[in-house]
Amino acid sequence: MRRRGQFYTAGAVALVILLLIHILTLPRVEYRPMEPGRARALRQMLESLTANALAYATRSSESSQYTSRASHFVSEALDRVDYRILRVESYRVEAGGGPGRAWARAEYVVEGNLYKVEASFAMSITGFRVYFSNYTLEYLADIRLYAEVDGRPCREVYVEETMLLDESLSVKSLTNLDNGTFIVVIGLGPMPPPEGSKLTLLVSDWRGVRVEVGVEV
Amino acid sequence: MNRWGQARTIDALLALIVIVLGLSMVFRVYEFVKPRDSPALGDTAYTALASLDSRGYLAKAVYGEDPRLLEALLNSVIPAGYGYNCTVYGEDWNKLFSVEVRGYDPYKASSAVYILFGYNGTLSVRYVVLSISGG
Repeated sequence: MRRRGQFYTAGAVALVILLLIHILTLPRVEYRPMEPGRARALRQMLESLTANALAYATRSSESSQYTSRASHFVSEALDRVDYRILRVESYRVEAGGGPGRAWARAEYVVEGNLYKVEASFAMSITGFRVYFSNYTLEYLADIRLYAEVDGRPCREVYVEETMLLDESLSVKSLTNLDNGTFIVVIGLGPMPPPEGSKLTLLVSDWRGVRVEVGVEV
Repeated sequence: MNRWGQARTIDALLALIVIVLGLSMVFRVYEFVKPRDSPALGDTAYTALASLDSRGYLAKAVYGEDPRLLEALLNSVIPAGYGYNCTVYGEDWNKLFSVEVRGYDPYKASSAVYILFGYNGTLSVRYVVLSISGG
């Protein structure tokens, strides 16, 4: 009877030892979160890349081809970058646009983390008038614009080109009123512009994303 | 004697288990509390570069190859009391220009590498390496 008891005790001890050995030899799982600064920097790099890809697309193609152009840009950029600094495991980019707006959405998988980033630029004409200036002795178009970058009021825009009836016009002044509102004054020349003609502006934000807006004179 | 021997064997095994468990706990706790490299400086460097890039200023200084502008921008985001060195490299890691100020000490520094992919829709890779020391 006692021997049986000892046998059971020895068996239990052996089982406990085996269990401990099993637990101690389990692979150690280490949770190493990315430092907040680096994670933020990584997101910002990917946001800038997406915005730059959108800028490239808006400068080189029609809006229907924005996705393919932006994807091409991202692919080439990631091929060129040193993989020791940034290794993107997979990515997906889609982009689109229309009159007065352009957008891109992208997903990147970096070091096992998924980053969803967006870039957009939207612009609309909120006011327009044509008048004759007694100072410059020509007709001027005074256009009030509202611009948003990534859904927030834009702080800086560039009027790259203004056209009326396929003729390039000069920008007299560009005033930033803050909160995304800008006033552009365009010289139309000494003759009044033809009624119903369309004045077109190519405007870009500070990242180079370009959109086209137009207004009927 | 035989029984005594068995009892001592079991005692020894139990003692061994207690020792192994104790050592295991000590190592696990040490893993948890052991001193690590302070990520604060590297973190500051990454945050500074990301902050400048989010407004487009970093690209302006880097692609304009303007060390003075870069220095002014970095001075505005890196707290006083920190020394730093910022070097900009081209796509093939060829050094383009560098800025070093405020008694930078390379032996006590942490670095961050930031990538710029281009400017205004053009593709042109630049590596910005910012090392910060002090604090």
